[in-house]
Amino acid sequence: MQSGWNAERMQNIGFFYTIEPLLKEESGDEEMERINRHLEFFNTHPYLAGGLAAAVARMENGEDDEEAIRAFKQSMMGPFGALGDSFFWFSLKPLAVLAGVVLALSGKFLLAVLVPLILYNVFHLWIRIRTFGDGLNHGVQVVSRISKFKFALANATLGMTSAVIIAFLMVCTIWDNGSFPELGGHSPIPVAITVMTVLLGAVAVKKGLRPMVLLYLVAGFSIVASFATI
Amino acid sequence: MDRTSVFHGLLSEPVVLCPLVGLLLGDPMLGLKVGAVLQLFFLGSSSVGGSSPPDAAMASIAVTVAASLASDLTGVPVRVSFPAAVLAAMAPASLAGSFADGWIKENNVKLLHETEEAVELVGAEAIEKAVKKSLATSFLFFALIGTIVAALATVVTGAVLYFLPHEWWKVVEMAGNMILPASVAVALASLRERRALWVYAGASVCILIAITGWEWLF
Repeated sequence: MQSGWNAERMQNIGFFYTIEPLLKEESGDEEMERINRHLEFFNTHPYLAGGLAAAVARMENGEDDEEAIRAFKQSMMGPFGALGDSFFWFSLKPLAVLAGVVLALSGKFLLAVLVPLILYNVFHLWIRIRTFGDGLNHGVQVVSRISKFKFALANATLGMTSAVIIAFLMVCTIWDNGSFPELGGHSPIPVAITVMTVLLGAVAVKKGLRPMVLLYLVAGFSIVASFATI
Repeated sequence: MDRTSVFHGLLSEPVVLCPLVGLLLGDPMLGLKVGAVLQLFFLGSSSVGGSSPPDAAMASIAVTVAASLASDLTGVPVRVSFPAAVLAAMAPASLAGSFADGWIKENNVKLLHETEEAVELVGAEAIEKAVKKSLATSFLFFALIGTIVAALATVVTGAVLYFLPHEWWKVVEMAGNMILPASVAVALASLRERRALWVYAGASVCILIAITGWEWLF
């Protein structure tokens, strides 16, 4: 779906490439017309695109007219994109990779690599396969079937779990005296101060401070502070 | 490729990619540490609606290669070469990746117009050819840019470490220790859940009390 992604009509090439094997064979002008119709602008979330593509292929093979197919594609790509972005990119992915970060900071090589891959891919492949099957078997009903997933609740739960994991890794990494020894050692007050400074940094980034600027500011401050103490 | 064109299965995320690059270079533990820090920094970096955000994969390869090879070349320990590589290479490498991404998307516009002409002659076969051509171009271009960026990152980091006086090692190391909290702040800010900051603050206090007891609060 993402191959051939272009700045003009985005996923259009990938979309036709995906549905082509599912379509009834046609030839001549009808085939040309169908290809050109699907080379129009298309963009949605790559994981949910399969369900949409399968539903469109079913419509193409059935009795639906061109306008109905076009209207379905155009009206659904936005909501599918928004759902996919908020759930997969901004909720599931952060949680999966944060689990990997905790394991990486604990020095567990194999687990740090495998846990995020398994956690994320098992779930995302299951949704991809399931929505594709729903589109193929139920056509436009794929929309109501996708809406049965409780995305909003899942986003909130995964987001808060990610925040807890970040708190856990921040406190434990500093306290542990393992990977980053100068950040506090075994005294709760410096750890608490660092934890709250991180919170201030996060607020600053939320308010518009660029992450790279924060990084260089912190590093610069540390260098100046080091010179002052040496 | 995993980030832009194929599969999207987290293989290009720093926490997976850096340890694998580190393993190839014979320093898996360095890869783990780089991966953890870069992952936090790029936690919210995803392409939404066709944008080309800073490329975490390019930064991962460049920083891991630079930290490892610059350390080998100059004899400076990795605890110094790691922060030096992050500060010298992460931003330019991630921007180079973003540029490469944008170039591929623009190049694919030309491919689209060529494909539309080819469709008139050979039909759906032209689409299949366009997909293969796009994947091949994307692979070769990212491989080329990745190699150049990793080599430049190693040269720059190596030069910095070569000219760095021994007494400054500790300074760079301490700056490196501040990279983790800065990355955590960026990670926290990237969470879309609006109560995330409150949850982080509450959970931090609870975890700290669980570890240390609550006497220090008073």
